[in-house]
Amino acid sequence: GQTTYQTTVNCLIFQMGFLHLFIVNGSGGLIHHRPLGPLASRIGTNEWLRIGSTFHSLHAIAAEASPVKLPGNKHPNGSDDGIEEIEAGGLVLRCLQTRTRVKFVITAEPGTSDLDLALREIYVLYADFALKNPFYELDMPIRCDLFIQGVDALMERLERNASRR
Amino acid sequence: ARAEVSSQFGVATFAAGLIIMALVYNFYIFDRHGECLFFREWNAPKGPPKHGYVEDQKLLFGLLFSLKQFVQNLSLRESPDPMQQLETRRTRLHIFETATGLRFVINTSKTLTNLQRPLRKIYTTLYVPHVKKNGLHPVGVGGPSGQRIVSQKFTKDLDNYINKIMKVNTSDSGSGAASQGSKSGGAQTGN
Repeated sequence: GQTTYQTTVNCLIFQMGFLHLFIVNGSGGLIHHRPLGPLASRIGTNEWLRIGSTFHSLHAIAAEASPVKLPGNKHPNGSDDGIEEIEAGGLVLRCLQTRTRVKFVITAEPGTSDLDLALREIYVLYADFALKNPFYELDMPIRCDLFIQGVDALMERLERNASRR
Repeated sequence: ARAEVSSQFGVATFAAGLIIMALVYNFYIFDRHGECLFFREWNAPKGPPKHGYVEDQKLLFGLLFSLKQFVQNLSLRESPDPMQQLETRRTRLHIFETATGLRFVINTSKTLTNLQRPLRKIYTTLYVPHVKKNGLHPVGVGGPSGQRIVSQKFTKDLDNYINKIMKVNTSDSGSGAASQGSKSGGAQTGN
C-alpha cells in the first residue's frame, strides 16, 4: 500500500494535472506555447511549430469527417466546428476556438478538473494583455509579459482551488 | 408518457416528456493499410458524403492516422496509451484499435460517453467469430489483398447490437448505460 504522503501527492497531481498550453492563430501558425505544470514534458520549438500547424489542419478535417453539420456551419458562438476534445489513455486535450479562428489548446492528465474554465480565462487574458497591447501585432508570437504573468497567476489560483477541495 | 423508439434506426417519437436521444451515426472498420473493411450507416443527417463514400473513408482514415501520431508527440509516456475519443461540437468519435492495427470506429451523439467496451465486444463477439473464424468467409480480411467483410450474419448481429445500445441509452428516466454491463455477447439475437 501507499503511505499517506504518497497518496496526498498523488491526489494533488491528479487534480492539477495540466501539461501544456498552445495557441494557434487563424492561419495555423503557432503564436504561443508553454508548459503549465511540473508534469509537462519538454518539447522543442520546432516540434511545437509542427504540433501547432498539424492541429490546425486536424481540427478542420474532424469537422469535415463528422456526420453532423452545424446550422450555418458555425458554432453558436460564431466559430467553426472542429475538435473540442481528444481523449487518449494518458492525455486529455481540449480546444477553444474563437470566432476569429484563434485556437486555445490545453493538454492535461485525464481527470484534471477546470479545463474549460482555464481555457476561457486564458482567452480573457489574451484579449486583455495581448490584443489590447498597442505593441502586439495580430497573429504574431505573443511575447507580452503581462499575458505570461497572467497565465502563471491563473495556474496558481487553480492549484489553490484544487488543493482546497 | 412513454417514448416509442422505432426498431431500426433510433428515431424516437413521444407524446410528452423529455427524451435524451442516443444516436449512433455510422461505423467503420479499417485495417492497418488504410483499407476500409466495413462501413455501415444508421443515421445520416448530412446525407451522402459530397465526394462519395470511398473518399469519405479515406479522409477518416487519414484523420485517425495523423491524430495517432499527434497524440503520441504530445503524450508523456514512452509507449503512450491509444487514442480513444474525439469530440466535435455535436458528435463523438470512438476508436478501438487492436494489436494487429485493426481500427473499429464509431460516430455517435455526445450522449454516448464510453464505447470502448462495446467496441471491444464487437471485435471479440462479432468480428472474430463471424469473419475470422468463419470457414465460409473469403480469406484475406485485414491482409494485403484488402478483402472486405461480406458476412451477412456479422451485419445483422451488428445492427441488433447497435440498436440495443441506442435503446438502452435513450431514456427519459436517465437509467443510461447501467444496464449495458448485463448484455450478453452481441451474437444473441433472441430478444
